[in-house]
Amino acid sequence: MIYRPPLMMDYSVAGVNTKLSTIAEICYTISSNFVVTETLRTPSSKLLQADTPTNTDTVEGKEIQKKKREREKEMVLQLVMAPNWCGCGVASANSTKISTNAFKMSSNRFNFSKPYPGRAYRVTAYYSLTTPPYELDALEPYMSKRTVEIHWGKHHNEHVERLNKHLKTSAFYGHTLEEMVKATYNNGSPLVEFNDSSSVWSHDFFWESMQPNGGSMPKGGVLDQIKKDFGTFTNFKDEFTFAALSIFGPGWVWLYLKKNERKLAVAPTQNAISPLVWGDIPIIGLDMWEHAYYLDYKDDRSAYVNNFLDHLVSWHSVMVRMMRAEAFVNLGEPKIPVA
Amino acid sequence: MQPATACASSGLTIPWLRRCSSLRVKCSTSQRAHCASTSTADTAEPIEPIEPIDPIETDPEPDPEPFKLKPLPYPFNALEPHMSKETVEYHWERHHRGHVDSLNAIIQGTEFAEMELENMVLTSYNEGNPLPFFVHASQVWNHDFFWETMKPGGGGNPSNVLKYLIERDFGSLDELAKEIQNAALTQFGSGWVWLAYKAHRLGVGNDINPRPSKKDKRLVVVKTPNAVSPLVWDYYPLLAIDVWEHAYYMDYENRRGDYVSVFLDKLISWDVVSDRLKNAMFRASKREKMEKREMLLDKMKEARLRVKAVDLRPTPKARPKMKRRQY
Repeated sequence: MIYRPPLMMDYSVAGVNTKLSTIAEICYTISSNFVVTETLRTPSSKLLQADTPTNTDTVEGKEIQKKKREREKEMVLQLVMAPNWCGCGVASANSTKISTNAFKMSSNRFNFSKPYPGRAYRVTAYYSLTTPPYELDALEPYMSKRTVEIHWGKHHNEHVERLNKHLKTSAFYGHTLEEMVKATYNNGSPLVEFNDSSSVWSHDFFWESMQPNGGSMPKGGVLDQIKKDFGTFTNFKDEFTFAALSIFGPGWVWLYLKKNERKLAVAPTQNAISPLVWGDIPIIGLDMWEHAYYLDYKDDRSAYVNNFLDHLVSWHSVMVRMMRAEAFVNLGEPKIPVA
Repeated sequence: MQPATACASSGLTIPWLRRCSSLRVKCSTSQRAHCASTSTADTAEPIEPIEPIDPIETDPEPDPEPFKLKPLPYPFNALEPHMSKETVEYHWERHHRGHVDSLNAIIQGTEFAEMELENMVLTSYNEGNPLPFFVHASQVWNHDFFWETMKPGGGGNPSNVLKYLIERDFGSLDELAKEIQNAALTQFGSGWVWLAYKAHRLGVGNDINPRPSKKDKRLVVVKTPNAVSPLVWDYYPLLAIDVWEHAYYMDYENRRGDYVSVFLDKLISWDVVSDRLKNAMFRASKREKMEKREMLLDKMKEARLRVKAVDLRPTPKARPKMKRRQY
C-alpha cells in the first residue's frame, strides 16, 4: 500500500515468541518492507585471494572454521529496519521485535556493521505480511476470529510467501505492488506473478476496508459523491449486493472510482482481478472467495454482504482513499461560498 | 372377426380392412382401384364410425422439473471422518441442489429441456462461448460424477486395466497421486481436478488424428476452472475431485493438499473408476471404428465422383511381331 490510513497506527499485537506456534502469537511489523542484507562474495575479490583456507584437519583449524562460519551467520542474519512509510528513519513507536528461528532483529538501529571491510554488500527486499489494523477478534460477530485467523494467517500469508518466491527470480523484483499488479496483468494474459501479487494487494486493501463498529452511513463528501453517482445510498447498497451475488466462482466486488468517467462505480471481478488493472482507483474491496465467508455463513452470501455493508465497512478508510483519489481525478470544482 | 372398416379416404366399406387402432391404414393403388369400381352398398353391415382425431394436438404441459436432483449413493454421514456429514449435507443440499434448481428454471419450456445432461453440457459450452446455463448444467453433471467417485470405506489400489494404464502412463500410483496433488494446488481459485482417458482425437468435431502419437489413448490428469469439465475437450473423465473451497473448507480449512491426499487414500472408489475406464475405452474404440468407416466411405464416394467413363479393360500389351523362322 502506498498510502496507509491513520487507523493503522492504533494497531499493536504484543508477544514475542521464538516458535511460530499460533497465529495470534506471531507479531509482524507494520512496514511492508524489511531488508535482508546479504554478502556478495565476488570470486575475483582480492580479499578472498588473500584469505587462506583454513586447514580443517587439525583441531585448531576446525575451531577457526567454526568461528568463521558463526561470524558469517551473524552477519547474514542481521536485519535492518527499513524506513517506514512516513519516510523517517526511526522505527515507528509501535514496532515490535520479531524473533523467529531464522532472524533476529535489532530495533531502532540504522547502522549495520560491516564485519569484512571492503566487501560488497547487496541489499534485497521482499514483501511481508501486513497486519490488519485491528485485533483478530475485533470483527466479531460478523466475521469470526477463526475466519480472520485463517484468511489472514494462512491464505494471505501463503500469497505473500509465493509472491516472494516468484520475486527471487522474477524480472518484477523491485516493483511496487501496484506497479506489479498492473504490469503482470499484461492486458488480459496474466503472467505468473499476477495472481499472487494481485491477491496480496487486494487482501491488504480488504483488511483496511473494514473496521470494528463499521458500517452505517458515510458522511459528508463521500455520501454526496455516492448519491451523485448512484442516486441514493440504498441504490448503491443494492447494486453492490447484486454485483457480489452475481459472481460465479471466486472473485471480488469493488466500489471504485473510474478515472476517465470521473465517477464511482461498482463492479464484480473474477479470481484476483482488481480495478487497478483497468487503471481505476479502488475505494472498497470485498472478498467473495468462499474462504472469506464459508465458516461463518456457509453458502448464505447475501447475509455476508449485508453484514459487511451494515456493520464492517470502514467509511473512514473510504474517506481517506477518496481524498487521495482526488489528487488523481478531478471530481469537480469545490463550492466556495460567495460572501 | 372385427366388423369391416370404412376406408378413410373414400368412405367405402372394405371387407379386408380391419381396424387396427394404432395404425393409420393406407390403401394401396390396387385397393383404391377396387374401391373405385365397387359400389357403396356392398355390405348390409353398418359402417362403424371412425374415431374422430383431434386435428390440433395440444402440447403437454412442460415439466417444471426436467432434471431431478440425483440422490447420493450413500447416507450423509457415510464418509466420516474424512468428509464430515455437515460438508456432504451442505454440499449436496445447497450447492448441488441450487444448480439443479437454477438449471430447471432456465431451461424449462425451451428446446434444451429434452436433452440429456451430457449433451446439454456440450451444447451449452458452445465451443468456449458458453450459454448462460452452462455453469449449472456442467456443475450438476460434475457433482453427480463426484459423488459417485467416492464411497464409504474407499481407497485401496486400482486393479487390472486401470492399474496397467496408470503404471504405463504415470509410472506408479504414487506418481499419479503426486500429479493430482500438483494439479489441485496449482488450480488458482475454484475448479476440478480430473483423471481422464484421452482418446485418439485432436479435439475439434470431426477430427480423427491421422498421425497417432504417444499422447493419444492414454490417461491424463487435467485441472479445469470453475465449472468446466474435460467433456468439452472430448476426453472421457474417470475421476473428479472438487477443489471448490466449499467442498473441503469446513473439514480441512485451507489445506487443499491434505484433502486431496485423503480423497485418494480413503474416499475414492477405484471400482467405479475402472468401470468408467472400460466404458470409455469401449466407446472410444467404437467411435474410432465408425469414423474410420465413414472416412473410408467418404473417400470412396469422392473417388467415384472423380472417375469418368474409362475403359478399365486391360489393353493388350504391344508385343513385337514374332518373325517366322526361316528354315
